[in-house]
Amino acid sequence: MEMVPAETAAAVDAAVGVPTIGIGAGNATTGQVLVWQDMAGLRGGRMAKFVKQYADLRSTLLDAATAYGNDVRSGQFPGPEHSF
Amino acid sequence: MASSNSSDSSASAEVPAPYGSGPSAAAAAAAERKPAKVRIHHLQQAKRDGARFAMLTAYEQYTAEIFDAAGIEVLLVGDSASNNVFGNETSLPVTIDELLPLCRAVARSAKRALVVADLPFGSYEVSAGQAVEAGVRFLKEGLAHAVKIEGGQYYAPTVRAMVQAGIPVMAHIGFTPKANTRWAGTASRAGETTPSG
Repeated sequence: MEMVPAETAAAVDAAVGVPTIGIGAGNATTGQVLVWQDMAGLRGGRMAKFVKQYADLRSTLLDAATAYGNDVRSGQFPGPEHSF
Repeated sequence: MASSNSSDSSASAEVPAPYGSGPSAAAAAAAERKPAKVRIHHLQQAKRDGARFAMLTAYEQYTAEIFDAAGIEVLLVGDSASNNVFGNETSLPVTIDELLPLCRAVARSAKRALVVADLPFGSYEVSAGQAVEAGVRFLKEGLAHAVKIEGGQYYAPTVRAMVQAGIPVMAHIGFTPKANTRWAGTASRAGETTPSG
């Protein structure tokens, strides 16, 4: 159930025999789902209210790629330890 | 199980067995290699027990491996790959042929999680027969364990036909992103009559 008021989702969960999964549907469903790029902060831009962001992978990857590019341009990478 | 009381010295803890460190370690290693798979009856049991389970989308090998290792019970190869992998603005343009390789990668990489695949827009709406054919492709070629379709009561006969064909189906209700155009936006329509029927 996606973006269903919590009270309604709880009523649906109680009414059906099958397990329910919610996204923006409150805390009464059997399971929860999130898009992983939202959960881990890989995607940029505005996040829906139902998203909880557990990491900031976009910043981590941006920093890593920036550092790698800078190292290549400055001749710091590859070093002797990366060479044969 | 190995026994320290055994009179056979070759089985004692001090003398390593020729093929490893004994049955207990082997059993533990086997358990590590083949953890109990999460299947649909486990989710049903979770509901009966009042327990909760977690689902995340996954679209390729490493995230599938990582989320599986983290104990996420269900991995969804979502049509959200359209706007999270393929660069589209919405989930509408993605096709079965685009999703199948992603689904196969996730299913091959997840040792424990249940893998659910979205049937993309246009692959199940025409008829129950079309839905069965699409579902079969995701189970046979995508190695998924179940599929998900969007829609309400209108699709009940479709779901019935799929289940009778041996395809486990998850139903997506409430806000359904494929109906984004018809709904004219992503705002909550709480209190309104659903056009999904």
